[in-house]
This record gives sequence, structure tokens and C-alpha cells, in this order.
Amino acid sequence: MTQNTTLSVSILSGKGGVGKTNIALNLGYCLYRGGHPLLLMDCDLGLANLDVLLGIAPDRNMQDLLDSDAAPRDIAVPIEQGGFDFLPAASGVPELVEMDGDMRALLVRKLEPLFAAYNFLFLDLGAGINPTVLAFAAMTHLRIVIVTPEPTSLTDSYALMKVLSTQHGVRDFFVIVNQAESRKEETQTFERLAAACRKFLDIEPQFLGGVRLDKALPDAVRKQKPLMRVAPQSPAAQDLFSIAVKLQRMRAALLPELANKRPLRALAEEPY
Amino acid sequence: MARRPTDAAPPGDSGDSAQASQSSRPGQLLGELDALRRALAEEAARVARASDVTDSGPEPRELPDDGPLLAVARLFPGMTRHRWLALAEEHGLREWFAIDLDKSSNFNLRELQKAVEELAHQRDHDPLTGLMNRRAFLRQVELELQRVHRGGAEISLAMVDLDDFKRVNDTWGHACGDLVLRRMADVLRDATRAYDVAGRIGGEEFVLLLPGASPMRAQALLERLLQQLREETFECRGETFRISFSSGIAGCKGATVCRAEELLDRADKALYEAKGSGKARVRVYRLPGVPDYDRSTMVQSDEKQFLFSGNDD
Repeated sequence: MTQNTTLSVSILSGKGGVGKTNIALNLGYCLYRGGHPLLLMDCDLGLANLDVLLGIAPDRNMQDLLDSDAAPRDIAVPIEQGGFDFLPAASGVPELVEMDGDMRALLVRKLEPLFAAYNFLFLDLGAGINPTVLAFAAMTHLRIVIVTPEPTSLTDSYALMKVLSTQHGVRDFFVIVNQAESRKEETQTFERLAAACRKFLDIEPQFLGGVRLDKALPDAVRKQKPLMRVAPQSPAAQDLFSIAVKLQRMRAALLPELANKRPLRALAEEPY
Repeated sequence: MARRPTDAAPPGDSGDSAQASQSSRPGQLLGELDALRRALAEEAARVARASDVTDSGPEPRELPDDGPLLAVARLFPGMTRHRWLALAEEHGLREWFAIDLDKSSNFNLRELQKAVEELAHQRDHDPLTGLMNRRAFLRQVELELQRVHRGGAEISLAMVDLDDFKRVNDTWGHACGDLVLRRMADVLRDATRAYDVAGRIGGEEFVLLLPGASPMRAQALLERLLQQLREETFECRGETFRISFSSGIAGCKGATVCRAEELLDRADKALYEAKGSGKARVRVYRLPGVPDYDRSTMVQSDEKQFLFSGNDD
């Protein structure tokens, strides 16, 4: 087996509408611009929206991997030429949301040969705590939880971490606080979540950074372009840039450890 | 849940006629033959074991000259020789032989078959309501449970007991009681799908077997039926009254092996609970000490409080 150099990162949130997909897309864009080939996988299976955010309407998606002989290469769509690709998911397929272990294993097995070409593999997971979200979150090397200062977001992301830690033994999480109005609110939000994790779950989440509330972001969404491309000087874009720099450093530090791992960890009950 | 259209036939009669006409369908025949084939294979294996035959080669095809020999026959009204040949060809039934009685004088065989069917029906059904009796119902439960076990499906059993039925009998007489029992039977029959099975297993005790339904769905159905029955008015000897029932539900799912008696016993326990907590309600049996989901992951109120306020108060 050749040595693995792909760092897989799942991006999750518990609650929907907290800017998860946007953060995934823009972090991906930064890393790509920093010379890291990156594959962005839309894991909001069944209710995909990354393609919408990008203004593309792919005619094939991961569903085709499951029910035809389509090659993963043919399904990946370039967002930017030369190493920023994305794997579209299907919309309106309830069966995909409730994919069972066998289906997941089959999907991962079919995709695995594709991963080696990328330095990063981003999994943009759906909201909620369905088995698909939990399984994918447990498969990646790193997990980034997106929270906003809203109490609903805090509770939902806490619930997600609680399920993952008690049911799947996943105990390491990075946190990005999105849409805070000030650095103070950002820190408070993270501290509150971290304190609850420490107190009740005995886990210590790491603060990865904050992305400020910025009206440049909704503008970019309407233009269906990554914020990093249309407004790279905006406050949110700069925040995202510094987070991307951290991720790049983390990968460099983890490389020796990654060498003997698979891009996506096989779960105990799901041999693939 | 799909409703069966209400039969125009008088209460107690509708089930009988439906069942009698069903028994003549080719599907029914093929099912019976299949069951028979399996039973014969099991029997052959048993005989082989008993006579300690270690050679597991194919069983001899030729007829022995002596020893026990039995032909099993069943009449099939409406079937022609050509249709049978086609069925036999399609379903590999060539070892079965058929005798065309169409133009023969064996009309007494028709009568015999009719009598046999009638007796079989009487043996399995409650004469008052036309529902299955206890023994037939239990057999049906065993059959369905095997299917559940094979297919990893789900099944629920509801036990239904009329509330204060003795009062009806004591106040308005047994004829009035029978009226209520027949109405209860109709409610169960009308509400159920073709593959659901209703039975009367005791005086005022009914059962409903719901293949494919989770206890939660069964509960919703029974609650609807209870509501429906409670809204009806009965009239006996010039007086009107209302009636209700209590129900206990037990379920069985997938690979866990369930016994019919055990399932019935659990539904009975839930029924007891329903009666104990005031009647006119539906209760679902829960395995003692086993929560129906993993509570360890649930976010507790103190955790929420902490997230909202950042402290313990």
C-alpha cells in the first residue's frame, strides 16, 4: 500500500443553517489556492446543496456510484481547474439519507481510489444526528463543528458531540464559531460549549477560529461564487483564510501519522 | 392504513363468505401444495433419521410393492385440466396427479369436499362473530411469527377486552351482549387490512394480529378504533348505552425469536395495565428494564441549562 497523504476532515453542525456548507467551500478554496488539491464531498446525501452554492447543476452524482458502473472520476466536478473538485450528492432521495452500513461501505469502497490525488478530503455533512452523519463523522481524521452564538445551535452541536462521544467513541472535535457579532461573543460561545463538554462529557474541544458576521457572505451566496473569490478582503474571508492556514499546518504535522491510515477510517461494523 | 370495504352481509357472516371464496383461488392451492411439499420433506427427513439411514442420496422414486401408502386429495372447484397442466408445468408440480371430475358421476365428492370445508371452518371460527377462535388464531400467530423471523420484519399483537361487559349482560340480557360482541367483531374486521387477522379468544376478549406494524402503529390504530366504538350508541330494551374497550399491545421484531404464547402473554400484561389505569385506553408492553432507545446520549436538562447560562443555576 502506498503511503497515504490525504487528510480527511468532516464539517458538521447539528443544527442546519449555520453556514456549514459555506465554510466548507471557502476553506476548501483557500487550501486549493495554497497549493493543496482538495476534494469536497457533499455528504448531505439526499438533500444536497453544495452544487447550488456553486451555481452548477451536475448531471451525475454519488447515487450513480451506488446503482451503476459509473467511475468516481466521472462524477467528480472541477470547481477550479487543477485540483479543487467536488463530489455532488443527489437531492430528493430519502433512501440516501437513511443509507445503511452496507451502502456506506460500498460508497466509500468505490470512492477510495479517487482520494489519493488530494491533500485534503472535506466531508460536508448534513444537519441532524442521523446515522449517516454520525458514521461519516466517525470516519474522518478530523472533525470541525460549526456553531453560532444562538442557543439552538449550541444545544444541537452539543447533542451531536454527545452522541458521537458516547455512542461512537469519538472524542476529538475542533470548533469554528460562525456569525458572531464580536470577538468577545465568539470566545464566549466557544467557552460555553467547551465548558459543557468538559463538565458532562469529559472531552476537550479545540477552538479553531471564528468567522465574523459579514454581509459579504450572503452577497457571495447570491452570486453563487466562493466568498474567497469575490471578496477576499472582507472580514469573513480573512477569518477563513487564517483558519485554512491552521489546517495546512495541522496536516503537515500529522503527515507521518497519516501515512499508515486510510483516507477514511473503516468503521468496526462496516468492513470495506 | 388501508380499510377493507364494509361487507353488506349481516354481521358474523361477512368473514365466512369471504373466506370460502378465497379458498378456491389458484394462489391458495399453490400455497397449500407448497406447505404440503415442505411438510413431506420434513417427514421424509424424520423417517430417514428414525431408520438411521446415513446415505443421503436421492430418495427412491419407484413405488414400493407393499407398506403404507396414502393419496392426499383436495377438490378444486373451477379448475380445468388444461389450467392445472399449465400450473403444474410452471410450478414444478409434476409429481402431483389430477383427476378430472367434471363429467364423472362423483358428484358426492363435491358434497364431501363442501362438508369438509364447512367443518374446517367451524373448527377454526367462533360461531357468534365469525372471527377466528383461540386455537386457529394461535396457529396463525405461529405462522406469521416464522415469517417475521425469516424476513426480519415486524409484527404487533393487540389484545382487546370490552370494558364492563358483565354489566351489559346483567342489565340488558345476553342477546344484547351478543349484539355488542358482534359489533366489536365488525369494528375489528372493518378496520383491518387483508393480511391482518382478528380473533375472539374468550368471552369478551378479542385479538388482532397486525403483520408489518410496529407497536406504535398498532397503538395508533387501536386508539382510533376505541374512539370510534366509544362514539357509537347501543340500544337494548328501549335504553341506550355506550361501550368502550381496553387494549394491550405487544410487538416482535426481526431476528429475536418470539413465541405465540409469549407474545399473547405480553399483550395480556399490557392489557392488565390498561385496565388497571382506568380502562378505555391502549397500552404497549415494554420489556422490564430495557429502554426502547439508548438514553445515554440524551441531552439532559442540566446540560441544556448549563449551555444557556454558562453556570449550574
